[in-house]
Amino acid sequence: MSHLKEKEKNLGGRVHRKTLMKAGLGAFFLWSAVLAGCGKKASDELMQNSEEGQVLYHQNGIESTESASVVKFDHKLDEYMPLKKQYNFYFTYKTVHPWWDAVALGMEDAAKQYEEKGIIIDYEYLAPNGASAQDQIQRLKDAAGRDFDVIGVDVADVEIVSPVINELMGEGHKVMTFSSSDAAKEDGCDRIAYVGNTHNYEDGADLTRALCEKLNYKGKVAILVGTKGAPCHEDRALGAKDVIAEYPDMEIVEIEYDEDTVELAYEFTKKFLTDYEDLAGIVCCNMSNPVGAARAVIEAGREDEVVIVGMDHDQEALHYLKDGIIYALGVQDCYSIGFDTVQVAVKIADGQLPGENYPEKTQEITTIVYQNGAAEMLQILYGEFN
Amino acid sequence: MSQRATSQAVNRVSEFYLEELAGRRAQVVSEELKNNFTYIENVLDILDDSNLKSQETLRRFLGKMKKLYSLDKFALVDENGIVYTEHSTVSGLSHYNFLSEELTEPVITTANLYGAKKQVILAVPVDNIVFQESRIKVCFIQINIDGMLSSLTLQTGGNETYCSLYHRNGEDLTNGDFGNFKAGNNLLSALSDAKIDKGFKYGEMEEAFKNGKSGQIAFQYRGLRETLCYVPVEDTNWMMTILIRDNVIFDQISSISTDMMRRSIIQIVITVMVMLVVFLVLICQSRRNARILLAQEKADGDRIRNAFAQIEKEQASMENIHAAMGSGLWSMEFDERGEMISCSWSEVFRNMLGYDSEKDFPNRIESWADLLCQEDKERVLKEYWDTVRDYSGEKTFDVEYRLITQNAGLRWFHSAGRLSRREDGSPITFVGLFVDIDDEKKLEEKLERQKIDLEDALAVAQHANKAKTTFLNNMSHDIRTPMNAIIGFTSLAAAHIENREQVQDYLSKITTSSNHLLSLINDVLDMSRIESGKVKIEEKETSLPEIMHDLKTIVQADITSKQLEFFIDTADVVNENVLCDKLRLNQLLLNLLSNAMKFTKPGGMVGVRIIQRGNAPEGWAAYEFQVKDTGIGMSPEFLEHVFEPFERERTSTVSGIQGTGLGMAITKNIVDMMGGVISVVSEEGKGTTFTVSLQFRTCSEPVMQNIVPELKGLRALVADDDFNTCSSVTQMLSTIGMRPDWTTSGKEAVLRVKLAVEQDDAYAAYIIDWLMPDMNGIEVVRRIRRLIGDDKPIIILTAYDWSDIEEEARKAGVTAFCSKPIFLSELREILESPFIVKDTKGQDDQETVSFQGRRLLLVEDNEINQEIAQEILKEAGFLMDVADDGSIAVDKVKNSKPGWYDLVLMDIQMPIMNGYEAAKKIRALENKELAGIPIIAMTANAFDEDRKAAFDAGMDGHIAKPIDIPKLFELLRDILK
Repeated sequence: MSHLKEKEKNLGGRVHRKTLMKAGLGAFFLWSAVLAGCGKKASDELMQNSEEGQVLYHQNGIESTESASVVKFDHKLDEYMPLKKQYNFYFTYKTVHPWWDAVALGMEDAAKQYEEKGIIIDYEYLAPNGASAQDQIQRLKDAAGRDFDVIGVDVADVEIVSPVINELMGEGHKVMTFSSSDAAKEDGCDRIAYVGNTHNYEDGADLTRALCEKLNYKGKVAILVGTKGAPCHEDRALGAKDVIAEYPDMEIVEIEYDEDTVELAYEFTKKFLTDYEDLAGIVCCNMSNPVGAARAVIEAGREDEVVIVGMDHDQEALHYLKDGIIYALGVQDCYSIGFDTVQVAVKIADGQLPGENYPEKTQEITTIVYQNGAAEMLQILYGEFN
Repeated sequence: MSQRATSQAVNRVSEFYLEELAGRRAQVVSEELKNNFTYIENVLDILDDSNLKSQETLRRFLGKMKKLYSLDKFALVDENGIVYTEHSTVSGLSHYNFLSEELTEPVITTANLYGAKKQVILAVPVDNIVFQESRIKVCFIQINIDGMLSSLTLQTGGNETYCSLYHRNGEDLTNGDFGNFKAGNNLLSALSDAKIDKGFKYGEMEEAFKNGKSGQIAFQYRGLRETLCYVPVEDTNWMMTILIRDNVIFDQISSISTDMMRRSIIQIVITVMVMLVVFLVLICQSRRNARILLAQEKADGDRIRNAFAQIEKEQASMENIHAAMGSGLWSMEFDERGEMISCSWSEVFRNMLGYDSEKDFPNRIESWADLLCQEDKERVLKEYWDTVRDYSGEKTFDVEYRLITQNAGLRWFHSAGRLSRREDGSPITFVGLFVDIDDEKKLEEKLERQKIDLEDALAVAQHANKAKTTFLNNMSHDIRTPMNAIIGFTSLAAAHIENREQVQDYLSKITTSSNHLLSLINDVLDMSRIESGKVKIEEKETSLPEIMHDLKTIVQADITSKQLEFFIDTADVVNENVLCDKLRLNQLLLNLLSNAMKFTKPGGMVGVRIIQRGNAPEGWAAYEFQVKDTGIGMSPEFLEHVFEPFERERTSTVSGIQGTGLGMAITKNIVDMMGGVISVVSEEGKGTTFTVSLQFRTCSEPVMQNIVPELKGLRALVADDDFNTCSSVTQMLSTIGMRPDWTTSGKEAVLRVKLAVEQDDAYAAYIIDWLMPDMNGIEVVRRIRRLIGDDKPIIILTAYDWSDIEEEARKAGVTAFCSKPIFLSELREILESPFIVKDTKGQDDQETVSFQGRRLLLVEDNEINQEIAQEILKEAGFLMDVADDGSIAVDKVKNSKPGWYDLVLMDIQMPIMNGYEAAKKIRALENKELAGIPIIAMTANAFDEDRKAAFDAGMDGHIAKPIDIPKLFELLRDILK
């Protein structure tokens, strides 16, 4: 993959600006962020090469740099005319968690817009209370026994789930992946298409780069990964490790798997703080761990010493960002993931293969948000104005 | 002067106008919210089992209700947090904040839908509704707040008067701007920066908001003078706010007043003149017309009076006819939009329902709809609305249903009606008739019931008859088959008596057939005794781990010989010792397991699982025993009869599988006697799962749940291809304070160990399954040992007999073996002393007891039985003496020297003196040594009560005939050691 990276200062915040080009059309769509305090990132990828198929960023086509936003709520269905009047989809994701609830809102919005056009989208969007690849394959097998037009899965473990996806495809079911974790052709998976984040490695790397810069490229860092085997968490952690390895005065002292829970993240951070009195930073690779890390750092009274960077848009985490406890957060556009997942599922159900009507990977954006962008995020996402 | 008057007018107009506006709008919002709660209640009332049959029926119902009440969303939420709506089933919706806690009363809230528009949510707690085995806990509706406010807003053209809703803390509840106040701004915070007019105080307004009081405030904000009126919305924490700009009213009133003055003077002059002329003309004209009109009015009056009299007469006749026929009229009228504008019920109909006046039974459709029987309600209302909305006019309303009457409970009515329609098909009037058909209907129902009862009785009789005939045929076949083998092979053995090898083969076949014949007879007798109430449940302290391990030991040989895959595990068992009838629990589990093995082909899977449920009262524990197989399964037709006696899906002649068809009936009876429930799920060709739910009294404290300090925080790895075992063992490890990881793959287990070692966070204990598909447990252990060395314990967990591989496993590095299913107490014990090489498998350390030279007194009246017993016992080394009845036996013991006889084997049914009496007499002998001689009942009286009677008579043991030789020797060994 080739990545083009740019950095610039904007209103006191760091801005990552990524540009992209849609393969096939050969047109560049340059976009950048100008929101106060926000850094925009669709991905590092400028152009997807031919071996990897087409990639369409969510904000593809935006020519004005002013119009880019962290989360797009103003979606409209594209011009594709569905062949049927009613569709029935099954989606399963890793675990019940507010992150995926945001995806659900995008799905609901898309289904509503289809209903206004006279097309009914029935769907199930279900997950267990704790991530489990075994539970997921059981859900997929159960769904295969029912009459769904498309089955969508947010892959819990590529090695365990891919064979089941292939088995279902072999039986004639139409299977797509979505949300945070893909299982692609290179993983030996035959799924039809993916909608979601494909730049987890870059998200982890960019957050860590921001952390390193803040620490003046010196100091000890701990990493909270998340769920073992979950591609998105592991990729972000890998990105973080690779970036830290570039700087000789920086050192990774601990790597822990917190199972995407606030409680474990809190416990692990307490341990880091006890074991390393000179700990300088913590990289958090999922939505729960920045919250756990921030709580532990505040409790230890070391919020001025330890720099935290993390992922996603948890309300409590955004408050910590606003208060300067967390230094930066990578916010994914979950709403668009949900909306586009339903659009792509309709096309798959109609027998369309990736190509003219939709890409094999519909990629959504991640935006790095800093302290002076936190209030605006709270307003946009949670209606908090004060 | 004029300016001041205008200003005062502005203030007064603002005050009255705004108060009126705000008050009315607050009332509208409050009414709308109340109406919506009523809609929810109505919907929950008509929601019945037919809507809860499947996801499709529920979605259809929710969709109809959403449309009926024009809502944005109508949803139900179950106990697992799953939200069901017209088109979706979704888990974990954290943005509905009211779902985070138990809802105890109705709530009104707004949802911040992740930056999308705010919506009003009305939620109510729900009871007694179950959908797909989960309790529905909440019903909520979602209303578009912008839609709700759009009908209240006054913003048109330049008329700048605004309406909005705020929370009492000033938070904006809408999605639009409120005059100069931007969407989302806190009103109180914004006003704190405004310049407040004299006579008003910001603090008063803040206080009024806090306490939900009405009021007004005038201020200057962003260069504009404005007046804000606020009124609380009843039953909410909301404030309805109306904002008007002073300049608007000031300008309008000023311009209107100047203009009005000028025009008024001109108008007054012209009007007075015109009125004078008109007045004079009118007086003349009216006098002339008065006479003509008087005559016409008199004639019209007579005609109208006659017409009314005629109508009243016809109505009275019609009412009489309806009263006589037991029928009543109704009518409804609709406007151009199809909305009902009036409804009328006749007095006859009211009387039929037991109401006297319109006050008791008002002319509203709800008066009738509320009395509809719940079962009929949805059908009848659907029929009604379908007829009204059928603009083609083809549909007619013709339904039968039940109504709740005032004095006579539910009664059947027949209702029919027709609609007159406009040109576009919209309804004008809907007129119809009610007829009380209760008597006819009840007669019909009675006849129908009688017919069904007769048919059922006939079917039951035919079925029982057929089942018994089938049973007799089967029994005849099943008894003849082993009998044929016994007789045939006995003849063959006699014919080849010289050929030892052949005779041994025949004898082995005779033994097999005899055993089968015995189990057949046992089943038949057991069933007969259960049905006659002779079997009693005897509760004794019982160890569930012991039962499960015994069960596994008993079936192990068959599992191996049938090449079946065997799973046995536990989940959440904290009470391991209970009071129950061990024998019967064993019997029922063995019956289920034997059945599973019997009907599963080699290579198939058989599994047993015990789960403790948390729903038992104090002092009790609830368990679920699941016996599962991947065998031939059962047809849905047979499933209905599986627990009936004498039922078999296929006869043994067809299936080749022998059985009496009584096993399941016996099992069901035992479960019933134990106060439990048995259920079965089965699919032909896929397998069967029996689930037995039982509650037992606990007889010891639960297994210690506390953390083992030495193990706290240590990591443990569980590797087992059975997910259930992983889950259960992992949970137990967490309970005792360890940090467990699990995997269903042997290869992955090795990888995880490698990773853990690299991260310097190695596992402290390993629990590995022996048989895993990708790599067997011994190989996994060998590889793990290479990574971790010898000091950490590795335990092999298996449902199979490990004796054949024990040596190899020890060499590979296995510390201990542990038999499935593993219970918490066992796991604690193993891990608390991990380095002690131990096996949980019970090793028989039987004390060797020699029978050589021991003397037995055999008390037996039947010569053949004497001969058989003597032969067997002499061969074992005993010296034998025989007594033909109890009396002789008592004499022989009484006259013997103490120690002469080592033991007495006592038959029960004997002439002269039976075994019980003889035993009592021996126990009553004066010589204590003689009186204490061990006595074992050896009898064909094989039931539990016979066993009890033997012990009551003072005997030390009981063995049933036909004699099971190993059992007899085991008993003798136990007593003589």
